[in-house]
Amino acid sequence: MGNYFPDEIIFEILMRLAVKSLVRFICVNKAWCSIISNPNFASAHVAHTNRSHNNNTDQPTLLLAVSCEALEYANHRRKFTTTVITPCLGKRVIDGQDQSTKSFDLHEQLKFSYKSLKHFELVGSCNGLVLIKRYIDTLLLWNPLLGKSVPLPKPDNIGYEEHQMRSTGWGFGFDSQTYDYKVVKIVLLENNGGEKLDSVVQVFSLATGDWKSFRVGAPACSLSYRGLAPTIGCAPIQRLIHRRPQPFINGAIHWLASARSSKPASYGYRHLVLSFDISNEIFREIMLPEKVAYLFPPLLSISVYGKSLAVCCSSSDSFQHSLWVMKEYGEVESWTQVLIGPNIPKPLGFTTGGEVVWKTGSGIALYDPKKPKIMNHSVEGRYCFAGSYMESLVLLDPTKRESKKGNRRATKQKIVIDYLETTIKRVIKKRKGRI
Amino acid sequence: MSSTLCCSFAKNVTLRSSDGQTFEVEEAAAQVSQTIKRMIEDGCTGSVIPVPNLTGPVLALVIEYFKKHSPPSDGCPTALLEMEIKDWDAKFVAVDNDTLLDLTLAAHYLEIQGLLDLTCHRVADILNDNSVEKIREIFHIKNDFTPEEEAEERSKIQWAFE
Repeated sequence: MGNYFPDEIIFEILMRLAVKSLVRFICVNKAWCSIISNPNFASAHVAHTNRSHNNNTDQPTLLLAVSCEALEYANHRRKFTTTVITPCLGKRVIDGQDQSTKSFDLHEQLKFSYKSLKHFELVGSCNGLVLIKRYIDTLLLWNPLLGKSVPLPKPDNIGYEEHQMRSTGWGFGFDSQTYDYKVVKIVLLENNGGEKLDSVVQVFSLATGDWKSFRVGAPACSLSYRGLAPTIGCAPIQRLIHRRPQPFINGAIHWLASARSSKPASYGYRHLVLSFDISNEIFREIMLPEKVAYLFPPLLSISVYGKSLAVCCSSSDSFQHSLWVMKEYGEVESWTQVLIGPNIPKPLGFTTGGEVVWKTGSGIALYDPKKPKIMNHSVEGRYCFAGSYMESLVLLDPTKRESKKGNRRATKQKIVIDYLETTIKRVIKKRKGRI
Repeated sequence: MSSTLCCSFAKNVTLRSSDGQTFEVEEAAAQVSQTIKRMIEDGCTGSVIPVPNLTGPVLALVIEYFKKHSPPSDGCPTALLEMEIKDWDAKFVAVDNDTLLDLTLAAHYLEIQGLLDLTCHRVADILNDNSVEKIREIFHIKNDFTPEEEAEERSKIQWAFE
């Protein structure tokens, strides 16, 4: 066989490789290094992985979060406990002999530049990236597999009057129209009547590195339960709810929201899903099934189950949970209750393969209602969240974007890179044409 | 325009490899290749179609693939048939590395998307578990990093070698 292998075929092969292999193959030669480190290649690899997972949804890696209590001192040396959340990746190791006893290979936990992980939230995860928020608006975009992260600028302070009632939501997603990662902060401004209002939307684009702010009409609803506080009468509810990443599905970020309702015995609120399409920048209301729309709010959580939007309802009795799945995205009639089996504790989350994950005495367990079989994994830690994680090369070289202007590489190498970029773009275009 | 001869049996075309071997194959089967399909549409059917990038043994394998993947004459392929083809495909690419790469190149030159997906997937499966050195050997790639440059690259991505 000849030594010549066209770049297009090398590219086709590399697209099908696992992320860990690709990172290793950076050392093959300079041409492979340039292809693999090219941000355009990372995008193409993500697109290919997404397409091939349409046929095979079982992703071996999970994004997990461990929580533990820590003591903190306030100004007057008064002690109080706070929750520290540590994210990590877990990779399933399949034992060919006995499928029911798989082990779990825990990836190294995030090495933060932060001193502590207190006041920390997983805002969202998409295409191998995880957005982390600390305190009010300190943001970090992280690829846990590659161990790469970039701090993001804070959004500007924007105009609304301080006394105005408002609720805030954060989200993270990928704009497939512009091939860009976006952080969204929404502030819903409320008025006394509970009729519809204004909202301030702030969108950060990873490609431009800037925030933009605009006002847009939003459905009359709230993302917090402050209005419900007299009925509920306990403060930590909001914290509990916000520990889970906001589902990103169908190009939109989703939040659980509440609108006022006059229906008797409904806590005065009706719950719904508020979605924000990150390409078209529009809000949408998605109604929940009647049976769950009026439940006590802390019992509800939204997530992605398989490839669908889902709402999980826990009962105060901890062994009864119901899961409602929206089979056809956006079609309210398609909400379907999925049986997740009796005696399963409160789920930590769900996988894209349609498994339910929960905490056990010795680790975590996964259950696929289609099989049905329980897989136990022994891993240490008090888990508070679990979900599918798609491995990707995005952020392999976080400096790439910024360093473009000050690039002092030799001209010859620059030409090689430009050539490779053109090749990659051509192949991507060709592949798009085929779909 | 193609020949106006009335034919009650399938029409054949002749393909000639780079080393001069000729193969006769049904026209419908050969059209699995977009390249050959275009040549037939351009009126090359009367004579022998040259396939200069493929040697005889590789072209023979590709023709096997054509025969298995030619559109069924009686309409839609059944689920059973699809399963059978999938099994056949898996066996078809269970060959030595050089043959596999030759088939990949052939799929590229002849624009056979199904074969390109199949071979690239198989190559990727093989590469995933291999070392950097083995990759260079498989693709006949010369390492153009200096030892210092390579050591530096490796030190940045140590985890990928564990």
